[in-house]
Amino acid sequence: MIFSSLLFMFVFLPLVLIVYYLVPRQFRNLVLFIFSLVFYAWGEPVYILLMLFTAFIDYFNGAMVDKFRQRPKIAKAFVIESVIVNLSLLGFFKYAGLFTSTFNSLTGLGIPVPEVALPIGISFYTFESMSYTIDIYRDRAPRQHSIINYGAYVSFFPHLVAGPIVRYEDMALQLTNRKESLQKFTAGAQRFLVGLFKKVIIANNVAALADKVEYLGSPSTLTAWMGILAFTFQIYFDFSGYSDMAIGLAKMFGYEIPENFRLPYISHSVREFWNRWHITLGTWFKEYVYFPLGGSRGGTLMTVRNMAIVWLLTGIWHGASWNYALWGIYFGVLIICEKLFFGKILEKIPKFFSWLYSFVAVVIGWVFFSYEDIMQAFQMLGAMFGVGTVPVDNQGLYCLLTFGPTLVIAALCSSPLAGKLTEKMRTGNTLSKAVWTVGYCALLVVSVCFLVDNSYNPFLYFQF
Amino acid sequence: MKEKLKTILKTCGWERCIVAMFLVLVMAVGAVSLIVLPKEDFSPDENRMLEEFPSVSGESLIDGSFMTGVENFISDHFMLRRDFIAMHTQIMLATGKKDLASNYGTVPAEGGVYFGKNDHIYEVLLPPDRTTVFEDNITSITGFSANAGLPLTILAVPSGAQEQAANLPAFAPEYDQREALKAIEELADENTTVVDTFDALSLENGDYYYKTDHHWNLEGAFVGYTEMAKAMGFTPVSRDQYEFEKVSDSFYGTLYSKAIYWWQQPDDFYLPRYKGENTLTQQTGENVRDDLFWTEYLEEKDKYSTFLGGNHSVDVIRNSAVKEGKLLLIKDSYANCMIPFLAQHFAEIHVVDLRYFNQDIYQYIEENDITQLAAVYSIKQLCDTDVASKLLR
Repeated sequence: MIFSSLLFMFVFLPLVLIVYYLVPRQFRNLVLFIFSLVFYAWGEPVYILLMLFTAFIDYFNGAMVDKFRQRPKIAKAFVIESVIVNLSLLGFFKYAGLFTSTFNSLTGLGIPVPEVALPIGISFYTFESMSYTIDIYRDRAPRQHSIINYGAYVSFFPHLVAGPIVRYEDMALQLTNRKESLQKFTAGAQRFLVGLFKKVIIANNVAALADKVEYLGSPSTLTAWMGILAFTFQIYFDFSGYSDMAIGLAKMFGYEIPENFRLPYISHSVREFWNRWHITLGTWFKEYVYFPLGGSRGGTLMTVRNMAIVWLLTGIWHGASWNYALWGIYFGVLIICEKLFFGKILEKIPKFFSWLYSFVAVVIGWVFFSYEDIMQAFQMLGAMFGVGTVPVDNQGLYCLLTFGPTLVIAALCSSPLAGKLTEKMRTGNTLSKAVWTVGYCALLVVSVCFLVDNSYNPFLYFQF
Repeated sequence: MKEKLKTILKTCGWERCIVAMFLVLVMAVGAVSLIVLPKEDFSPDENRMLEEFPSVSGESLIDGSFMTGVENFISDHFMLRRDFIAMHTQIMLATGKKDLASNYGTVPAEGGVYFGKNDHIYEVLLPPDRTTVFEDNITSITGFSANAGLPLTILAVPSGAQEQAANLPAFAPEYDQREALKAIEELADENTTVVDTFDALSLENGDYYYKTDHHWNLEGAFVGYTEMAKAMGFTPVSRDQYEFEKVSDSFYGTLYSKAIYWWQQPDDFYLPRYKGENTLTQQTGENVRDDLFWTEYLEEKDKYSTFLGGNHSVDVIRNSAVKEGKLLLIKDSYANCMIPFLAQHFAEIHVVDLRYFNQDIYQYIEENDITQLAAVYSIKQLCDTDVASKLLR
């Protein structure tokens, strides 16, 4: 089930809200657990067993780690076991096909490629579940004794299928000590709406252009830029919109979950971009991969090695296809170069140029991300810089004319301007508050229009 | 109490309270309306049955068909569905969009429709290069004559978007259907005639397409018939032998269904009345009608089905005033409104829609002593739908 659907907004969410607020406090996590299972089973009726298995392996491991706290070697063994089980499941269900077909093409053998459908959200919940055992081992958070509370943590539907990737230490206290309030509820509702607008009104809208350019192939330079800019905005509004909805929904149930995006397209270096894009993933890799490898404490060579590992893994995490690895390596190389060589230069040159460099670097990254066929990606890249194509054609002009206004709106909404302006209105005088209120209500109606006209509601992050 | 309310409003902000309340209200109204509002069975706009609530079973839960069913049920029966869709169209147009209802996530993609000038909606034409459908179709259609040993006339009808390019939005990209015609001409053998109607149907000569439907209109069909009759070696019946009678002024066709919005002008709908005596009958299965117009469809949205009652696997059109000539016509729905004209020249026309036809066509030709073959297809159909695999011998 996805948030931006009629089913979620008009059946699931009203039901879970009513039941949640009707039952006494001690049953509320149980309610969330049960509804979350329904939420997951709706899209993956069979794989829900896999999700529960993952969750309870770590419940058990966490308990064992806690039990053998005085005997670190045994405790560590359980942590290692948890990591191996989690990564094996992820590896099998997500990467078995990729590895077999790559092995076949390298060796010329014909090993049958396993046809495993990717379980929704496996990349997200595997990381969340794994963090539980590790956080207990590191003594960052106490063990969760109640299996209901633990189940509610892993399966909590707002962050279950597309993040933010919450870590157990962020949630441990809230599971038992959170307070629901009208203030949280209204702020959460507003945040949910922001996400809904982003996803439904902008992301789905520009997706049509991105898909069209990719489908038709051999674009002119203008068409190529229109297409890749559409994708640039689609992926941001899709993903950050989904995170906004998740954060808002969690808040409506009294939970605070971490922020995931902070206006990434205004960055002045690639390094800054990654501090603003999918923040919880970056934090996860930093906490559970980069630091354990030694981080930047072992001299330049070690640092570079550790960064290279993290970026390769980050790339592969995004999808079971080599173009994602290339995408990760691309960013790894840029960030290492920024750290070693031109990071200082970026700080000195005029702000506009450092922004332009970062934005174009990211957009080029999206080419490798959106084209699974690497040859096609290079063709697209060539077209963007005028190689092997005409600069302008009818297709490009038509796209510019019909999607230009939408892309301008998208660009404004991904800059600080939109957020600052609306917040100023919301906190201003009565008239500006009234305008703000009417605006939100109108956009909600518009969103429902887009949802009903559901001919176009693709969801990018299911493939992760 | 009043004090408490005041503090709440202050800590939350009244504006946030209203927005949150509105969200809750919208969700509640949507949810309640799904339960209590009466459900329609059929959507005339989309010309399809609406989804019924699915039945629960272990199997449908495990394979997910129950869930898909529920989701379809909700989107099919959501309150004010048509108005929401029209409003969506309106918003898209307001933000500069000139086309709608495309889906480039499938192969072959669905191009959707353009909003053109003069209230015209047009199909977006895409190059047929992503699948072999077009190649397969024209290969087997052009081979039909040799396979059956009979002369064949092919009329490949261009789309409205091709013929009325001046009405399209600025810079609207299009696949040039002349390339398709050229491909057909190159494959045709000496026993096959390919009719070119590109010039005759162009906007300079008149408006030959419906505004809201993907078909040619009755005048367009008459032009197509005239060209086809000439190619077959007949003198076409002249236009003044017919009176085109306006039978409806509220025809909303298939293109409108893809792009529902409030201010679309409908089409007028005409039927051709032959000034001479009507000698035509239509046999569909066991049923024989003494007219080719199924006027009961005039009461429905799908008015185009008035011609021959839509598409059947086989119809036999007989003309008691003509002694000889048995034509077998393979076709799509473009032919339906042209057949009343063509029927003036043949004792029998066997109208075959290969999409629904499940007999051996060559056996059928022998059993019915067919003397001549014809194919009438829109080029768009030839590009998108496999119609010709049944012609293989």
